[in-house]
Amino acid sequence: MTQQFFTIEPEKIMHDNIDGEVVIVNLENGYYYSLDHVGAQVWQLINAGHSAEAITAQLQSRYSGTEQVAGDVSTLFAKLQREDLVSIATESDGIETIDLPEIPYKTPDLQKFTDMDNLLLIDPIHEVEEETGWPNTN
Amino acid sequence: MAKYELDLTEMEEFDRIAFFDVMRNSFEHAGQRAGIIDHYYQIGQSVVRMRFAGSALVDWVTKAFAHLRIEPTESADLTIHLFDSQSTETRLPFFMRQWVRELLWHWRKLIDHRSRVITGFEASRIRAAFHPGPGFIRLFDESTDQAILWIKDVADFPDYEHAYPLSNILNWWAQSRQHLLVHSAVIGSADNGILLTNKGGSGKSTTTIASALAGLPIVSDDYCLVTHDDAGYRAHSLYNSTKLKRVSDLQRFPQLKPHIVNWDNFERGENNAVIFMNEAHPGSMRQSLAIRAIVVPTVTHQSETTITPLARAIALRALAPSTMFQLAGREQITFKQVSNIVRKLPCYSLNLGTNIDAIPPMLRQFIDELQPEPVDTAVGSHAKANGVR
Repeated sequence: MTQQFFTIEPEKIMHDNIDGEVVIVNLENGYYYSLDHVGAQVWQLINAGHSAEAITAQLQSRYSGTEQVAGDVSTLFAKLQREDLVSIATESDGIETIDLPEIPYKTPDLQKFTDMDNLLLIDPIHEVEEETGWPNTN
Repeated sequence: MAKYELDLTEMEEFDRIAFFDVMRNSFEHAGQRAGIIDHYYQIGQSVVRMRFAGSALVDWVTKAFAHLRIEPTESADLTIHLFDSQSTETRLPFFMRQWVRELLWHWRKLIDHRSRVITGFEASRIRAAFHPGPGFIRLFDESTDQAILWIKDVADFPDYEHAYPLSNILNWWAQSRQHLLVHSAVIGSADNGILLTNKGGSGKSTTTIASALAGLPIVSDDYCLVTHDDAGYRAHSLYNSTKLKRVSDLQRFPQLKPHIVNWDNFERGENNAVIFMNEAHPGSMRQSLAIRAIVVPTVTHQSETTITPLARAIALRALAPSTMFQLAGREQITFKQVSNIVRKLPCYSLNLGTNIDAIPPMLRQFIDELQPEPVDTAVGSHAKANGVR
C-alpha cells in the first residue's frame, strides 16, 4: 500500500517546538499558527518524516482508550494541507525516531492568527492594473 | 510587437554591484551640486555615518536618531548615503530612470509585496528594496558596509519613515553582523531592562510612554537592536520616536500634544501621531540596557496590573511574526534568532489594569528583582527544538 508522507517547505514555513507547543509561521502570507498537546506531537512526527499512516497508528497505540484519534488526526492533516503548511509527498527524506512526552489526550486544534495582515498595509500598494502601472508614472 | 518585460532573475552579482555603483555615483553627483552634510551616530558598539546630499532629508531622517548623535569619527562601521532628486536638482541616469519606471509598471512581478525587496536582490551581497507608493530605493552592500537611500522628492517621504527611518538598511546591516533588530519596546531600571512585545492594541506603547514619563529609562518603543555576548542579551537604542494611535490617547498624555510632529495627518486619522521622546521628555532615552526578560502585555478590565509567568511559545508568537514581517530581511535567520532569545530568557505576561499610574512603579520593582543572568529553564519542560537550523 502506498504510504502518504508530508513535506514542510523550509523556505516558506518556519516552525519551532517550545515546551510542547509548536509555533508555525507562513512567510508567504504572514499567517502564523499554534499547535499544542497532541497537535504538537502530530507536527513533530511529520517533521521527523513519518507517514500519515504511521503517525495515525502510533497515536492510536499511545491513546488506545480514545476512539476518535484516527478521525482527529485525519482532520488535522487536512487542515495543515488546506493552510499550505505541508504538502503531500510519496516518499520521506528520512525517518527519525522521536520520544513523545506522556500527556493526556486532547483533540488537536490548529490555532490560526491573521493579525499580521495589517502589516502588509503599512506601506499600502494600491490596486493598480499591470497595463496602466503605478498612478505616479503619468 | 512583443511587450518587453524586465527579467531581473537574469542578473548576476556584477550586475547588482554595478547597480549599486551607479546609485553611489548619482549620490556623489547630487552631493557636488548641493553640498554634503555629515552626521555620526553611536548604535550599539558601532558608529554609523550618514552623508546627506543637501539638507532636505536631514531633519526627516535624523530626528529619530538625535539621542545617539556623536562627534565625527575617523571611521564608521556603516555609511549611509542619502539624497533626493528634487532638492539637489539632479536626476538619476537615464537608464536608471527607465529601470524605476519598470519597477512602477511591473511591481507585481518585480517587487515582493510584503518586504518590498526587488526580485534578484533577495540573497546576494547587494540588498535592494523599492517602495512604490512614496517611490524610494534602499540599497545595502554587505561587503563594504555602505548603504544608499534615494527618493525623488522629500515631500513624498511617508510619516512612518520619519518615525522609523532606514529600518530596512539597519536590519540588513544588523543581520550581516549576526545581530538582530526586533519589534519590541524596551523599558528598564538601572542597567536592566525587559523586552515588551505584542501586536498593536496590546498596550505596549501606552506602557512605554507612561514608564518614560514616570522616569524609567527606555531604549525603544517599537524597534531596537539586540546583541548577544558572554554577558547575555543587550538591547540598543535606534529610534527615540513613539506613537499614539488615537486622539483619545491624548487624554492620558496631554503633555505630549505639543510634541506631535504630524498633527494634521493624525487629526484626520490618516496616520499615528509621531512624537520624538528626545524632545518631548529629554533624558528618558537610554543607549542600551541588559535584557533580563520578555514581557507580553495584554489589556484587561481589572483596575490593577499584575505580572504572571508566561508560556514561551506565547512569547515567541508575540515577538517573532511582527519582527519578521515588519523588518524585511532574511526571515529564516530572524526566526531562529528570536527563538533563541525566547529560549534563554524568562517570559511573563503583563496583565494591564486600568490604573495606568500604578504601572511604572510596579515595573520598576519587577525589573529590579529580575536575575542578572539569563535563565535556561522554561515554564514547564524544556522541549527539543525542531526545524530551527
